[in-house]
Amino acid sequence: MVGGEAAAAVEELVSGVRQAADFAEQFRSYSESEKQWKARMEFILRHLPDYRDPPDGSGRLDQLLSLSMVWANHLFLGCSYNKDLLDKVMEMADGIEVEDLPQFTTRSELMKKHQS
Amino acid sequence: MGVPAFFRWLSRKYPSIIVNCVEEKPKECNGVKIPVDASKPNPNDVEFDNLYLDMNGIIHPCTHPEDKPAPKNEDEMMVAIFEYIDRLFSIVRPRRLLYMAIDGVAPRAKMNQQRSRRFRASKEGMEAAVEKQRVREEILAKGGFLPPEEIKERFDSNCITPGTEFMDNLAKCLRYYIADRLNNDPGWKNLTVILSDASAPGEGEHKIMDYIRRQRAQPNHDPNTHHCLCGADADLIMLGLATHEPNFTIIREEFKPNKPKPCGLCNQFGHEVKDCEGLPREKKGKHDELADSLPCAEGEFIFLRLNVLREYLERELTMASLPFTFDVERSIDDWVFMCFFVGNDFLPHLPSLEIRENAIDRLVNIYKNVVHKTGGYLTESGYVNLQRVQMIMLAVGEVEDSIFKKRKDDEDSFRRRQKEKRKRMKRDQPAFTPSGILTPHALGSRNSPGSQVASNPRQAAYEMRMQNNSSPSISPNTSFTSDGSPSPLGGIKRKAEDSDSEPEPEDNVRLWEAGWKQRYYKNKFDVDAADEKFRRKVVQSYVEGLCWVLRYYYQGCASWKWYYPFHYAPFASDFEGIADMPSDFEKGTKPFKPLEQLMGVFPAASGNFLPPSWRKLMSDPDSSIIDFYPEDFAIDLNGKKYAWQGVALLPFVDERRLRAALEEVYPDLTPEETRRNSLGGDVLFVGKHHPLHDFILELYQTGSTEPVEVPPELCHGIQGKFSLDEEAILPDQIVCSPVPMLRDLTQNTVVSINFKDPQFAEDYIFKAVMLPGARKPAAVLKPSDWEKSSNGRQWKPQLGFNRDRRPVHLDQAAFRTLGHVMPRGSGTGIYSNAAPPPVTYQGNLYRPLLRGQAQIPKLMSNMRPQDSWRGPPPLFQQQRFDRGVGAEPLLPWNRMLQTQNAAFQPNQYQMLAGPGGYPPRRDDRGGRQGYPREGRKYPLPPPSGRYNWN
Repeated sequence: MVGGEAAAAVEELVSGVRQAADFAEQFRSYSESEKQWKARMEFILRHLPDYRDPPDGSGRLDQLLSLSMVWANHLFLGCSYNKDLLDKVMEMADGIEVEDLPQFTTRSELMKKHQS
Repeated sequence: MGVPAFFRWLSRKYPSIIVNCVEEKPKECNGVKIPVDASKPNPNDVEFDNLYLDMNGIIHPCTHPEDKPAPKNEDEMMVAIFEYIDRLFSIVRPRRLLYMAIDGVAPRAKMNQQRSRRFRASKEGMEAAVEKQRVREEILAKGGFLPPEEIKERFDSNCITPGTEFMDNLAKCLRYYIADRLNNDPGWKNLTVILSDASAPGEGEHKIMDYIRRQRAQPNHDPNTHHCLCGADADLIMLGLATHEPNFTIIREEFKPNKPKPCGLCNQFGHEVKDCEGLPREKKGKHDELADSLPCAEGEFIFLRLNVLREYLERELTMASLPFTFDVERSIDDWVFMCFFVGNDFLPHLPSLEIRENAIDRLVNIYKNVVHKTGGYLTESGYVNLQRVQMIMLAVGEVEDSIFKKRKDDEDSFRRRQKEKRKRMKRDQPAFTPSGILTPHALGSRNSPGSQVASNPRQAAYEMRMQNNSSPSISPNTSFTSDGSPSPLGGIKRKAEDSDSEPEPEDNVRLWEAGWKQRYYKNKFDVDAADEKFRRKVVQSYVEGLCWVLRYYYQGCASWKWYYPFHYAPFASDFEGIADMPSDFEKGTKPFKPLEQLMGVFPAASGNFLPPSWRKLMSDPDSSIIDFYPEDFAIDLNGKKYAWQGVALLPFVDERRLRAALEEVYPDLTPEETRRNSLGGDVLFVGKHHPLHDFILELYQTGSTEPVEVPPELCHGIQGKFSLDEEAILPDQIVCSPVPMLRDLTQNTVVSINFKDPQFAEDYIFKAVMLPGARKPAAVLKPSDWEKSSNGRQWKPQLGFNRDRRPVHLDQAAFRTLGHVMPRGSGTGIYSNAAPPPVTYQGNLYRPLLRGQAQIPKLMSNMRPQDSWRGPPPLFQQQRFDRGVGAEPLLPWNRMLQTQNAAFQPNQYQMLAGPGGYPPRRDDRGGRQGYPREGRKYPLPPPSGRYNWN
């Protein structure tokens, strides 16, 4: 039956997603809130196929994690990085929706404000 | 705990814990510097056994001082450090042990703070450099003059982190320094010296504590050792209390706020970089001989007597009718624990507890209320009883709301007062000036019109009353503008004033308004109030943190890996159900290697202290740890005013990823870097007179490879293990000087060897108790029942270490001598009638006094340059005794004078000092007070013949 096949496919997909989520869970940091982690997990899962550790173990996965942190730190902590790097992660994160982003004042902005 | 306010609070509340140091300064004779002989008795009336130096408190001020021009190069820095240690040594004069500890790699829990400090320092340093460059160009363009730019690049204080070349070099220099002093300085003759350099893991002060703790736990330790610990951090006070050693003193530089800082461009005082005009330096003194003398004195040192603090605490914490037996030691431990709530290096403090708002007093009060219910103490030997802590926390939680409200009220009223003050300052005349007979007049303008004393006071008063009635327009509803004319309230003027008042810091949390908890969690943690799970996580981490910190202070580092993974603390009211939270830590954790730690705490801008391939990881966009190194970061002012007070929101380091990334660049290390990256241990040094000297030499001769027990009987009961040091300093080998301006030691007799503290099993618990055989030092504070028990005797406060200190004293002969040169009844002044003591001796008896006069100013300038007295010599005594009575109680000799006022009031001085003990005014017109001014015709006591005031 077609419907059964579809259901099986959906189930497979769901379990795949769940597996992926379980796989990603190990990278969650203790201080991350549900909201922050959901966004970052999406980021990681989206690019996981491109950054899977090759058999020679050259640590591409860590690079993806690092990029995800760059993105998350920029969004949730107010950190800024080299412009090219920021552009890159913003592009990679294109389409990931995060609601209600916090506002920050960076140190440079603060110093400028104090001078004027 | 880098909480400066803590020390201020403590020294205000418990003033008697502070004793000013008596410091003997090296003298100079014919251009030859004579060092202080530290083998002489300690001038502070106390003898210390051990001196511990928390070296980072010395390295920082010596390498980038705030109150004097920075040293030109590394060599000068090293010499400055040596001189600083010499100074401390001459004050403390330890007789048994000198322990120097430089910060090694710190536990992970400290890394967040270190990161935030270094990221900030790097930014601040760069900003200062840019500002300097800008002003320099401006001045040069205007044709100003500036000393040529130093070729050396700016000193990055971030290099004071274990693992850098600078720290390695510092260790070398200190080894040379120790060898030199042990060879040549008589005060060091019998001393054991232990150097724990940056390669030994652990923060300096905690390495010291670990040493003391381990020595205390072995049977040969002398329980009455007098410890002296040098360092400025407030947590040294906690650490000292935590040892439960009865004789523990802390020495630190006295903190003087608003010290003048030299301009970073021209090195002159009096202006900042941004105001520098590049003016030539003024000549100081006739031939510029005072050029090097600083406008402010060298910092003075103070002792902090922990045994006195223990007395205070005992009084404060003693509770009657406890359901369990009262034990001072245990309640002091609880006090230490509660101080951690208010601030420590490893956890952010609770939002409701601010040291400035008397948080500790509040906690102590709550503690005393709650302790009846808890049924016991909060802590035991560094382990926390969470159930009892919960009771305290929840009790704080109950008042949290009102604390926030009060804080807001206080802030508002402070702001209001400031505003009013500004307004007042702006007005160039007072709001109200009395008129009529009360009109103020400048002094000395007697003849101006209108200043006559009212001929008919009653009439004048009546007129004034009527005048007031007839001008009802000046009512409270009218305010004065800056030109003094009345204007209606709320006018335009008023608005203008408002706009230039300081803007309130933006605060979205508004802790003083209902719903503060929700807003706090939303703003600071970015979670919804409903997220109970997350809040629980924060509390769990904080509780772990409290347990970790207390363990760290009482037992040593429980886990090198643990850290608090948030930037903010939870509320006290959130500490519900913490009793069953686990507070165990992973066992067998290892500290980072020095270079690994550098990668964890440095910003990319300080990457030059790391090997190139390591450095690349901090800036390469493809690096797998690039997220650790943001170029700029957010600062949350968190209710504070300045950027440096705010919370730096830096990402936390992922240890697994850091190690993984470094594994690949490890092969790039040179052998030299590999050596610097290894963890080392402590090194012990002794000179040839030390009983251990021959023992150690023999170890080297037999070349034993096994560690050997230290024979405690040869070394004041110190225990531990020796193992041979490949880079040891050995007798008859030349010790090369690492600093070009200092000479090599060609006739060395000093020997050094690796030293390891006594080891204990991992689950060994160091008992936080007073050791058997320890004698409590005599009480210093006035007994609370003194009035009852003293039989009317007056209480004599103790100012130094020794209650029976012999004050400076003039004997009869001295009084006769003084009487001899003082007026003798033949004068015409009104005090001439007061009979001086009978003078029976004539002749050369004045000579001792003359010598005394010549010496005292010199002696004083020795102690404190700014006190050298410059007035006309015959007035000298007046100034001296006058000051002795109260004006400046800090001079060492003044303190001595104070202790014995009674012995010091012969009428000569009263005569000299004029009525009420005040010195006669110098510009005294016409000698109205009958002061024998003729006396001043004599400039100096004549070289021969008699000197007389009349």
